[in-house]
Amino acid sequence: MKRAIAILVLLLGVSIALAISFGATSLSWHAILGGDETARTILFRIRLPRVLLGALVGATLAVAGVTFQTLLRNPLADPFILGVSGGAAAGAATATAFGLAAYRGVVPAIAFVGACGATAAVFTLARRRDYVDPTRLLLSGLVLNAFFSAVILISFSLSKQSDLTAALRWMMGTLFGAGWSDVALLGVLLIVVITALAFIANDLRMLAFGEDDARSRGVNVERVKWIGFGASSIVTGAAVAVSGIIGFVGLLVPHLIRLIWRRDFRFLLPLSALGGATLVVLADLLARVAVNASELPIGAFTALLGVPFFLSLLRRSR
Amino acid sequence: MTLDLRNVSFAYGGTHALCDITVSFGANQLVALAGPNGSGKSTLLKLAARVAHPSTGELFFDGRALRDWPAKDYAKQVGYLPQDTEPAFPMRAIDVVVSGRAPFLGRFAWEGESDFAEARKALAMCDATHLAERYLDEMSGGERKRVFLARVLAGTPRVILLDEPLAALDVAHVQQFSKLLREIVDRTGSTVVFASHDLNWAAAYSDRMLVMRGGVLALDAPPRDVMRPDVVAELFGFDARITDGWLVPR
Amino acid sequence: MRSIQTRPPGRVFIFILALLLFACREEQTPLPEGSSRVVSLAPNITEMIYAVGARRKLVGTDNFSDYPPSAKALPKVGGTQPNVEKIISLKPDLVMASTSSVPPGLESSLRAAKIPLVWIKTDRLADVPGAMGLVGAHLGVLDVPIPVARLQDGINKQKRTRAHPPRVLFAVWTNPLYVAGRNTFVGDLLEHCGATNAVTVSGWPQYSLESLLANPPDIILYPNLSVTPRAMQELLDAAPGLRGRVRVVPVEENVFVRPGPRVVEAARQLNAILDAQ
Repeated sequence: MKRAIAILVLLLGVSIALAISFGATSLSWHAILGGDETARTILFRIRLPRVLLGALVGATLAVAGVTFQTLLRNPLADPFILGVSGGAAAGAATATAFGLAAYRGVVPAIAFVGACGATAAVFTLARRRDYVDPTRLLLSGLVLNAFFSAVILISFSLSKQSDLTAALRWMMGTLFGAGWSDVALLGVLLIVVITALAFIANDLRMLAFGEDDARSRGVNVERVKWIGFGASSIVTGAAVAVSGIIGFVGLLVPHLIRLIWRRDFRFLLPLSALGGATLVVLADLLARVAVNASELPIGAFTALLGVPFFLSLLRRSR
Repeated sequence: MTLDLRNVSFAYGGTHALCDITVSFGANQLVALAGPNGSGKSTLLKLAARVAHPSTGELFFDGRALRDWPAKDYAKQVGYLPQDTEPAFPMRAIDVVVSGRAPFLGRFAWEGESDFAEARKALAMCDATHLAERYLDEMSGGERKRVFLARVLAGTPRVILLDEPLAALDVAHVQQFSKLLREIVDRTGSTVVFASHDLNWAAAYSDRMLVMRGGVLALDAPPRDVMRPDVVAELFGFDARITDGWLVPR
Repeated sequence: MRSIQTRPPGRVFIFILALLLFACREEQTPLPEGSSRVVSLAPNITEMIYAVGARRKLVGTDNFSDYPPSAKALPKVGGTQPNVEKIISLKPDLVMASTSSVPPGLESSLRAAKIPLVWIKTDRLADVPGAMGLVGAHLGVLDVPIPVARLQDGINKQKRTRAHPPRVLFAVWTNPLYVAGRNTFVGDLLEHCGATNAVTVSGWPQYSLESLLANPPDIILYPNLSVTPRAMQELLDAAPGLRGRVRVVPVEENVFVRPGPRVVEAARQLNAILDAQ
């Protein structure tokens, strides 16, 4: 495991270095070290926080993904597919459409409420007695996503600025305008959540064998579920509040890690965080440099990668 | 070692799964829970495994009430294998088995050498050593069941509760598994309680049979006292004769 | 068909051109010469219809047509997705739509109802007078070259060359930042009035904050209805160093973003802003 972490940390480090070095404008180290104000501002106030925020968002979504997969015993679970990201975006978008973005912290809080609402809905819709039906799980995610998209579109149609560009921004995801305060908010939350999940990691991985089985081994299943779902929802809410919906990271990363290392949740937690961070940093780099002076929505890239992967998983499973 | 149930009942919704059960288990016994589906066998095992709590009555292990036992400590004493256990993700047998050591691990601890040693011992006892490095989805049903039994054994429990372990096995494996249960009791001195809706296999190697019917304990006796045409006819309305110790429909 | 610049006098020229257009059209529905009941599906088209003096032929408009004020009283047929049934109920013999806000399915629905549809293209500043001429031609306005010439003249009068052209950025949306690039109607307007478009790429791209900082404009213009002052402030917060160096000016959205007869007014306002630099 130490070797795995070392490899992924190295990969993340290289990705961050690459991402800082390239962007819409080309910066020379000479200019930065020489005290060029503009170059410095671009690097430290625009590019660096954006790259770091990308890493945090990626880590968050991957961690939420692996946690949902373990809790729901379903390899296809991820915050986007389940509708949790959608719920967060619906909350954040509605709050923004009605002018609440003016008050600090309101939008992420409402995003969290939306994420929790979606998680609760997923649970209610997909649960049968004491296990979660995988087909119903995916179906309910699909339906919830449709519902939340509608909420986002209607919110913006009703608000004073009836502009669908705003809706698109939430639904497709972007790291545009990332600042250090966003980095701080998500960074702190992620640390708290990963700590909480590490605390219950041993118990959480036992849930992969079934709830009754875990109970018989002394696992407080209810508490693990509350902490697991709660932590994943909070942190998904925060990530979406900051960047909009970036899908499939929570699906792609844990599976890739599992393909290589085949381990249980205790290993997957830190490895997925590192892998998710790397993926989003690289995807955002692409989004920033693919077109001259312009940007492409990052959610589009992750979808392009994620959907074929999802379909191949669907074919392979049972 | 004693596991006592005193006046235990369990109801959920409007259904009464168990009514006023009083029974005791001592060490070194192979006990079969027999009876048709829905008679309360699974529920009894779940209560003994602390997966569910009784609506009325109390369970005691070694004289102490179950709810006074810390969860992890109890898990070290009593092992449970539910009817369907399948990990959500592909795993190797050795990893599945060593996860049975979980109650012994601290919060942030990893499995150590001693845990893997216990895991291998358990696999050996189940004649599954050759399966250690294989993935579960590459195995047959019988092999998988043995791996899961090894998982329970890896925790070195004094009582092992199995819910319908023979149900999904094909004929060749059923006998093998039943004999294995007998060996475990004889070699380790632990008590194995298993549920089976197949009367013959329930009786084949057991020391004792508990016959459940409609949530009530109808009979608690050695197999030879249960496997008699008149008893069976009265309990199950099943017209049979005994041939070479086996119940055969008339 | 490329847009045409009209020169006075040329009414015969206009009619021949109009006939040529009819001939080039793929539409199976034959166009009446000089329609008498027309529905406009874009606010700039509505303004053009008024400007050529054919207001009496206008029987219905889209929801956004609000100028001149009397246009507000006309029957409305919908916003970005016009209601075809409503259009039909007004019994028009011609519908005019703008190529920049093409509602899907419109063409086939109107063809099925046997109502002719004309597309008016005003992607660039230079398209506008010709487009107005086309509108007038379809409505059978005989002296359409006159208002067209007046419009062209007005546009010409606003042309400026400046010794130190101010760098201007036109922000259509702030989060994320979408801007008017070169080779667009707004881009042309900026250049016509002697400014330099701070954006070097074409079209309406999403613009990177880095580019904004690396090539800072002198003036940022934004449409006053779609973008709030607060949103603009948040953009400036996200691009540190710009505040104090850049002048942020809201402009009348309905004048600046509608390629129609009021483009002269837009140019006039723009020149006033640039003159004050």
